[in-house]
Amino acid sequence: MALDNQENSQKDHEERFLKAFEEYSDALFRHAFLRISDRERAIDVVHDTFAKVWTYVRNGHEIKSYRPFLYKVLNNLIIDEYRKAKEASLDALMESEGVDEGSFNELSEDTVKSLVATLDGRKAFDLLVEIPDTYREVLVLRFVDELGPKEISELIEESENVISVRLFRGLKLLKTLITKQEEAMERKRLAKKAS
Amino acid sequence: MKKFTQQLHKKTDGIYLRSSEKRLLRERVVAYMEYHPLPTNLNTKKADQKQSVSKNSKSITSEAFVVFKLNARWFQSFAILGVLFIVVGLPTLAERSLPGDILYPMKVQVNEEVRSSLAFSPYAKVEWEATRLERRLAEARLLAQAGKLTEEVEQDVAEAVKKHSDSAQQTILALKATDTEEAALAEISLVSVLEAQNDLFNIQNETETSVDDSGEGMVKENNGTLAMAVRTAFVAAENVHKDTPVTPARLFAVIEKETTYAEELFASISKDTSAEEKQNIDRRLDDIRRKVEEAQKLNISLAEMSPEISVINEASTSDGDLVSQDNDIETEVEVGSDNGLYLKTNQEILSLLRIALTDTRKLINFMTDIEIRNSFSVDELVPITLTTEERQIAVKENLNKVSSLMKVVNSKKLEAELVDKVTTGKATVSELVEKANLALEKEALTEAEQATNDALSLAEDLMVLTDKSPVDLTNISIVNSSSSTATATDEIVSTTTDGV
Repeated sequence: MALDNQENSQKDHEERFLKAFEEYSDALFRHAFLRISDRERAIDVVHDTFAKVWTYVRNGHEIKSYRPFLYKVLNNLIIDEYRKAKEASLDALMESEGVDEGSFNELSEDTVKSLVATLDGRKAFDLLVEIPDTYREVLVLRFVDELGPKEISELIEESENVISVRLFRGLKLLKTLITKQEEAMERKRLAKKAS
Repeated sequence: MKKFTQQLHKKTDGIYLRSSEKRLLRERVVAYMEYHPLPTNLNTKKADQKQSVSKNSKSITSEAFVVFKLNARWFQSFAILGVLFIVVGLPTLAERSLPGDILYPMKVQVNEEVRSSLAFSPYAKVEWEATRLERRLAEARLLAQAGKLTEEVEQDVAEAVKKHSDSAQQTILALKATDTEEAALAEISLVSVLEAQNDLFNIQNETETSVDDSGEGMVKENNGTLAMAVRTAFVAAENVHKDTPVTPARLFAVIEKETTYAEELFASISKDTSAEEKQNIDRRLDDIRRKVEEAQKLNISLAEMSPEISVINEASTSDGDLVSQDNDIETEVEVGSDNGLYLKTNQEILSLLRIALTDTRKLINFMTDIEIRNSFSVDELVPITLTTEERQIAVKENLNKVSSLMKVVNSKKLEAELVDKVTTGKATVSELVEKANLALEKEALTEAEQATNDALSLAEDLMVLTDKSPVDLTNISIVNSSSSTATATDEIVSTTTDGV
């Protein structure tokens, strides 16, 4: 009887875990790919995420909701990836970012919204790889994975203010890049026309 | 913003795992699972305890956000439940506690104090103090029933009884300065409560002494302290009350309220009571109603009487200085006698009402307190008050008894030394019977009862006296024919029965 229960409970854990894989592996992969821009490594990170979560289950912990938990683990692994790849530059970036709470203007959700309204999503997407991961992280979580500011703040363990500031600065960076790109294209077009 | 998101999604939707990649990834994950199977004795801990966020660690054990959100909700509802429990649950639980329970201090020092502060009028305060006193005694009874009434608790209860009755008395005293009427009413209320409780102890003591001599000595002794406390409080309240005059009008209202409550209680308990008990309680309620009616009748006659009194009183005060001294004395006498009657009637009404109130309180105690119901019968608590008809019948029955006793006495051949005694006795008995019959005709029931009871006890004495004398056979026919008392009684009985 007790053994049956044990078996049932194991089966239950496995089923829940595999169901989570089916449901979230694509979204996790998309997130990872957008962050590290390397298909193979993104797949590896997703695999590692599931492996870590499985270990967690094996250690006897209960996971009530898989989605946030998977994102958390994935995010931590991506940060680890960055640390391995470009430790120095990331640290420098973190340092410059610091715990700057941002100006009043940057903190307002409205300014984020009005800034977003001026941006072309397609161009922004193309330029996502160009901006530092600190900004890419929040932008992807916010606009691709569609998490709320509060959820993001809990996920990356920063205050909501910091999230807002990062969103604002990330978008601003994107905008600058887009403008620059447009200007370059314009110059190219003019040069072509002139020639 | 929506446009931006849509454009972005159009692009990002193109990023997904190809089916081959997904299959491969799945295989890798499943292989990992197979290489690292779940332990057979897997003991999953609750998520809430383990998925706590550690700010500095980027490790796997940090908590997921939605879970925290759920926790917050859970915490919120828990907090609301907690507050509800403290505000509603605890006091309700405390209400059922007894001395010695953890929640008992809450019952006495929080619940009752709150209710006490909600009693705005001094009268309500006195009533509440009386109720608290009753509650303490009911608790003591419950404990005694369970055999848990220690001397210490006993002492505490006795002190509480004193405290509440003192506090009530003080409120009454303060009330007297502003509203004598209300004060008197409060006094009657308090006295009736104390009297009901005092009677309970008296009955209990009587039954215990008659039934038990050794076994429950301890309980008896314990109850003794309590009984003493109640008696002292009762006597004190009674003494103070004696000096205060009351007009019946407001007392009627109080009784009305109490009897209505008693009737409601009766209706609510009638489901669980035996037919006999139901009948008994109903009878008592009828008795109380009758007493109130009687008091009302007297009150009407009092109202008819009062204008004259007031006129006389006015006359005596306004003419007091002008009229001659003789006149003055006459008026005083007149007023005195009328006033005497007025006061007597008033007193009668009040005593009737007080008995009715005390009886009602006792009945309420009987109906609300299961312990009282288990230990006493209604008869012990509130003896039946006979109706006029019942009293008439009882008198007649007693008269019949007297006549049959006298028949036996008359049939005895008396010894010389007894003749005198017995003859005087017989004469007195027939006088008393005569008196009783007359009183019955005049419907003066109390007088008739008194005379009949006297006659009965005298006849019984005569029976005892002549017990050893032999029967005088020759005298029987003469006795029968000359037994005027018996025939007279029979005739009257038959006529009055016809009349009834």
